[in-house]
Amino acid sequence: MREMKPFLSSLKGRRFYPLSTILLACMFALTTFMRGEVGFLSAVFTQTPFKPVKDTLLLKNKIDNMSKQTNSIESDFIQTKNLAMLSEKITSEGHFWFQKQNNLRWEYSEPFKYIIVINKDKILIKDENKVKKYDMNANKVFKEINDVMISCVNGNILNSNKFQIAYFENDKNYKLELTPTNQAMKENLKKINIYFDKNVTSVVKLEMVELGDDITIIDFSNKKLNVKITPEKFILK
Amino acid sequence: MLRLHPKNLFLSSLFITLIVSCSPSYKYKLSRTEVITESDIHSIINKDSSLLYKAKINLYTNYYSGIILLKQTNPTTSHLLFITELGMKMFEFEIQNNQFKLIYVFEPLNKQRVLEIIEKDMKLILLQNLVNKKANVFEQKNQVQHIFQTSNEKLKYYHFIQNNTNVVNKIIVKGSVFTKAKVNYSYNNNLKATNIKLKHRGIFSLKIELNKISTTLKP
Repeated sequence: MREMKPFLSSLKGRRFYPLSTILLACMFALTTFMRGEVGFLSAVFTQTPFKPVKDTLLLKNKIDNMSKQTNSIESDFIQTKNLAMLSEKITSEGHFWFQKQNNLRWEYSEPFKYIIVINKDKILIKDENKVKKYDMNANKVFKEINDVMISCVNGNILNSNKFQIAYFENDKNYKLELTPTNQAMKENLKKINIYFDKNVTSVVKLEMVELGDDITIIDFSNKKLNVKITPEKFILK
Repeated sequence: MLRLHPKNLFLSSLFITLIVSCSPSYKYKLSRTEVITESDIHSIINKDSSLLYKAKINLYTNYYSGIILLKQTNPTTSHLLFITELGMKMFEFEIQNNQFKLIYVFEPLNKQRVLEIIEKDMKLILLQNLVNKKANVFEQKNQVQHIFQTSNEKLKYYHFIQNNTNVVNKIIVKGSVFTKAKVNYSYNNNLKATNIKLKHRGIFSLKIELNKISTTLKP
């Protein structure tokens, strides 16, 4: 009889990228980009069509500068899953904390309690009262996530060979369109869109588009930058 | 040697009580045999609206959590979708005329045995194996609930049905000797299942717990 391996350990050595991997990577990507105060900005997107950015170097420099100046971020978020086939939206919300170099707490509060913490080389997941711990270095996929995260924090994501990045703008927003270059990643993910305001002070929306055109959208609000975050936030018991 | 000590007496009584109460046909008497129709059972899948559950699944040594969406897309077709909290789709089934058709499965779960178990137990939970089956109907003296007993070559299925609402309160699946699976349901005032717990014993043991989530679905 075929033995079932634990789900996360079954990812060992496999070269595919589940959407959660991408999402975690993007959370860190956001920490690179997010800055300033924003509210709910869904309305911002009813704007003129996006066109390619002419001066991409200038935009890259702005993003790079933001990354260097951001040491911590705290923000509310609303996550909406649009199911293309079922015309259905599933919404959840919560709060996240990020602290350089490699600490993240992503916490869902509604409609369920669920926490993901990344503390340097460990990933911890708390589902109601159960805590699971995973070693980043013992798992190639997690190592891959970590590498993407660090490159995001360092601002190197823009030079990453894991995504082909296209730069677009309209009258009010920039849009970075990240298309995976790796074949295994392409099997799960069509693209990631990161929107931020025209002054490049904050990310306003993140979209992850799957092959079947299901989309996960994350809106951020009530952001606080470079505030003190206690180390306990990155510990799960 | 067991001495007649009050403590031992209490334990013996408790043991006997447990044995007696575990028998599904206790207090029930065979009333008739009939073919189960749709109107005999209150469906878990809601015809008017989608249902959303926080799901905890223990399959063998693996633990998965996420959200299960049940949606009837037309009078004969429903969808069962499982996504993680982060939004990653794990599997999707189309249910038509009590048949499951796999629409999508995330690659690490794409194993024949795993899919068979998930499909089999999801069918059990969603009462997809009941309609049009010939059943022995057992009734209770106090008329609170009755049992539909169906069977195949290997297993006997006991569905405990609430008399006034036709909701299924409990399912017991028995092999020749041991209980193979149990499902327990709780309902709200609108007769929507709010909590569903399945426990499947065997080499590939499976536990599923679904807790209904509200106010998170938008058209």
